[in-house]
Amino acid sequence: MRLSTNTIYAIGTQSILDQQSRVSKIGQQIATQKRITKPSDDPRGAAQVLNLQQAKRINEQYAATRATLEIQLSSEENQLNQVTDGLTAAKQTLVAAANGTLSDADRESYANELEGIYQQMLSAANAKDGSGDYIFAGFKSGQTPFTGSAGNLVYNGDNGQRELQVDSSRTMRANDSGLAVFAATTASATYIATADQGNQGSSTYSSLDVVAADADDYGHRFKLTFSGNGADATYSVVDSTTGDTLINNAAYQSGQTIALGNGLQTTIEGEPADGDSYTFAKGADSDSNILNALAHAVDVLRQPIDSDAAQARFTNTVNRANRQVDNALDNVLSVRSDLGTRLNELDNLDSVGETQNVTYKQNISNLRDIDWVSAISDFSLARVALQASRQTFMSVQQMSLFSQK
Amino acid sequence: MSNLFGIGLSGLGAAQAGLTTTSNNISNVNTPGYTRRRALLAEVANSNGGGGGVTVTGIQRQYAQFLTAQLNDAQSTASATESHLNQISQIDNLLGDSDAGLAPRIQDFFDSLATLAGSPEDSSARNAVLGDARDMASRFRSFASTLSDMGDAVDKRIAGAVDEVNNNASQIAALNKQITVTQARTGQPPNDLLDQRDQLVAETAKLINVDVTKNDDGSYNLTVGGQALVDANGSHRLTTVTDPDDPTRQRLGYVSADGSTRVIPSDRVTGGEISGLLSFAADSLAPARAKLGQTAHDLAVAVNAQHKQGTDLAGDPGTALFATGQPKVYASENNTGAATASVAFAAGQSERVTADNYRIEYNAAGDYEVTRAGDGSSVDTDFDSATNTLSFGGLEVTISGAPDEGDVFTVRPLDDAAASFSVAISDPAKLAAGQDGSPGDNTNANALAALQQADVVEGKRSFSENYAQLVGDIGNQTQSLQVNSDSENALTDELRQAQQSVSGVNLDEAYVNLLYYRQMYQANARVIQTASTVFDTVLSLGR
Repeated sequence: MRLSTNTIYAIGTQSILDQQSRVSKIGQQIATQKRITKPSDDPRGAAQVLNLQQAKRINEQYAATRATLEIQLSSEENQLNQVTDGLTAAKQTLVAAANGTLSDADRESYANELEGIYQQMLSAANAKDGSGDYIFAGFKSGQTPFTGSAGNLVYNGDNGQRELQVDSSRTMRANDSGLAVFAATTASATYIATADQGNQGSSTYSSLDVVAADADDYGHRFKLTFSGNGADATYSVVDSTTGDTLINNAAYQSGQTIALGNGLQTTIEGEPADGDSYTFAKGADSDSNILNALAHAVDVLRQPIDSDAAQARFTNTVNRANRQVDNALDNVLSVRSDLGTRLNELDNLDSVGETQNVTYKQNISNLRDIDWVSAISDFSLARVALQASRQTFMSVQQMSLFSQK
Repeated sequence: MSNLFGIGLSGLGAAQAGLTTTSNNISNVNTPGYTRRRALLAEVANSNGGGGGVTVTGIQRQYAQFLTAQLNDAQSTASATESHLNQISQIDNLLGDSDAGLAPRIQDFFDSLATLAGSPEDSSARNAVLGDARDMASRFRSFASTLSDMGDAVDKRIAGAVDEVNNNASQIAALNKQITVTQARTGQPPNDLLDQRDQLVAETAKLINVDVTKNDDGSYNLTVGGQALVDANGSHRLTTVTDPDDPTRQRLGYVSADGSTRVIPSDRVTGGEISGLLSFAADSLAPARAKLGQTAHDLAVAVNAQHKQGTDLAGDPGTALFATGQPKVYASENNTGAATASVAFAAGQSERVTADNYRIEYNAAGDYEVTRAGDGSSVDTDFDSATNTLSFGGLEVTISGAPDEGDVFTVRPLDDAAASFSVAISDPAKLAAGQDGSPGDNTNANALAALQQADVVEGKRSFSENYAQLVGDIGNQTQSLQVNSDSENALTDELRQAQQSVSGVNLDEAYVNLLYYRQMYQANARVIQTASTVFDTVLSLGR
């Protein structure tokens, strides 16, 4: 074919331009270290990279949430440790104070000791976390959870539980409400017997035994009422849950075992007065705020024992406090172990998350980043090709009849 | 004997003509549109059969009409693709860095919502949410304004190209006249004018696809999309007009003899830069803007709906967190009825909002026909005759007044969504992280953060996936245009080589011709010398 001079030049120029843009393209890839420098380089890959980046970001976000959660849970754990220590100490104090040979002054000193424990637990219950929010107030984290006079503390928080997304398929509780920690009991909590505040007699309950935990009315609330005095004393038992009268005015003898429905029995000793009563309730059904129970115990420890009735009141209150401390300790330990499980799970999720993150990084890099070996060899090849086009052009350009001497 | 002088002289003339033509070829080796020429020689007839020398019958252009027409066509197609490619490459580059752009800003926003869930009452977490929301909003706006600026620039370039076409057309019409006149007067083709005219045609073909017919008198007729651009009456004008049905669109128009303008349908404009720019505006830019608008709209609606279910730090119900643009409806300029239309997004139906624009036509049967503006496919529509309201695609269009048959309304739902995307609250305490009115409640913050991965857009895609789809679409289009452009350029190059092999100057060949004509000149001079010698011999006989 006849080639025009313009064509010869155009072909030469075009080939140099093509090689140059190839060199520059690979150069750009090497400089940015990316194979995809714009979506058209690999449209599907570019879209995939965006989706993977989002997945990676979300994964990192879970990790950040877990870190926040770990701080929050750890500070709750610190307070729970204090509470556990407090309850253990309270238990020892109550056992020691129950000794019948103690003088009023001895009891006063136990009262002081118990009050110290009470104050320490109250400050744990009203503790704030690192960012100044109350730990045990539920959602109402700006309000002091427990306020009011000793023995009549009121919970100002709520049952709100903050859930945090710690993994794609797992949300985790970030807090426990004050009620759940200080005023709840576990399913296995024991019955609590409460002697009425106005009891005038000297009766005390010496035992409270489970006969059959599978009985149909086990768990109900019972009320034991005495009427008449001395030898005429009779007792009645009412199932307060159903309203049924189970025993009506049976004759009472000290040390007698009294059946409370089909699953429970108690032994009452001493002389009840007309109108004296006991309430038997299980777990959350009783006033289970352990702080109030401790405050009541402090109160009773401070009162002088100057009569049989006072002795009975003291015994009943300390017994009750003892059982409540047991229940509360069970409860706090179960909250703590749940917390420990969560912290453990966070650790596990962290390592899963890290592995996941490495995978995402790898996938993004595979899609988007250059393969150095092939990029550099491509670059050398393109450079050689450019050099060749230039030299070819130069020598073709010199081959003109006009340049013949 | 004197004949010999005559023959020698005619040879000198012919050699000179050859040298001149060759020199002209050499000097124009680089002139755009120049067609190589050749001196045509013929023998001068003589009654005695011995011949009377040589005569130059004309200077012929080595013009390949068929190849040139093919080249112009190929050039037209290639320049359409190339201008489309050049424009879309700008978006492609804009979306290039996966670490920059919109996607990371959306992620930041949801990230800070997740952090807020960790400490819902913390003021620094609240400030971070608002700050990231503002960053995301401004990124949406700047992306939208970049795309809209590109649209304006494209409109301007189309107008510029149309001016150029008009200018070329009037020059071609003038050349038509000069060529016919000159040819009639001299009987010889005016080669330079022919070159100029062909060059203008070639340049016009790069701007828009023109059909060329050659008349018997040597003049050209040019038509564009079935409309005469140059004819026996001279040149006609193209113009840009606002689409009568949709004032946001520029269309190519033709100015008729009576001065009225008429829209040239886009499918008739198949080549040239103008066609490429029109396709870019319609097929690349508009869908990209709609997709961006859809992402912004759905994000705002979903976040607002969730935010309103929550309570802020003071325990008050949440308000809208984002403000976004409203849909628009336009009545066609050609409507004859009295009907007006208003449009709003239907509450709670944002998953039905697609990245489409719609055309509503009132037909002869008295029904409203709704079609997608992009592909003309029909859209399922509910019509509530009590309120005169059409419901489709998550929109409610209310018509008031009586339409005439053929009246048209255009609905553009998402034009403004990204451009006016902004954060509606400025007080961090107004962020509704809870649901029960307590400051420590993070329920709503969790629900807001969960929207990041929810299939919100059309009920199928997350916001980020929708954006990734936009990136993928642009990448795919750019890639396929790149491939088309490469192959079209290769075809153009091939045709240009073929055309140049006929019409182009080859300097080596010209050098040979120079030597050849120089030799011819010398030989003819020798003829004259010989004639002179012969003449002298004859004269000396008498001495």
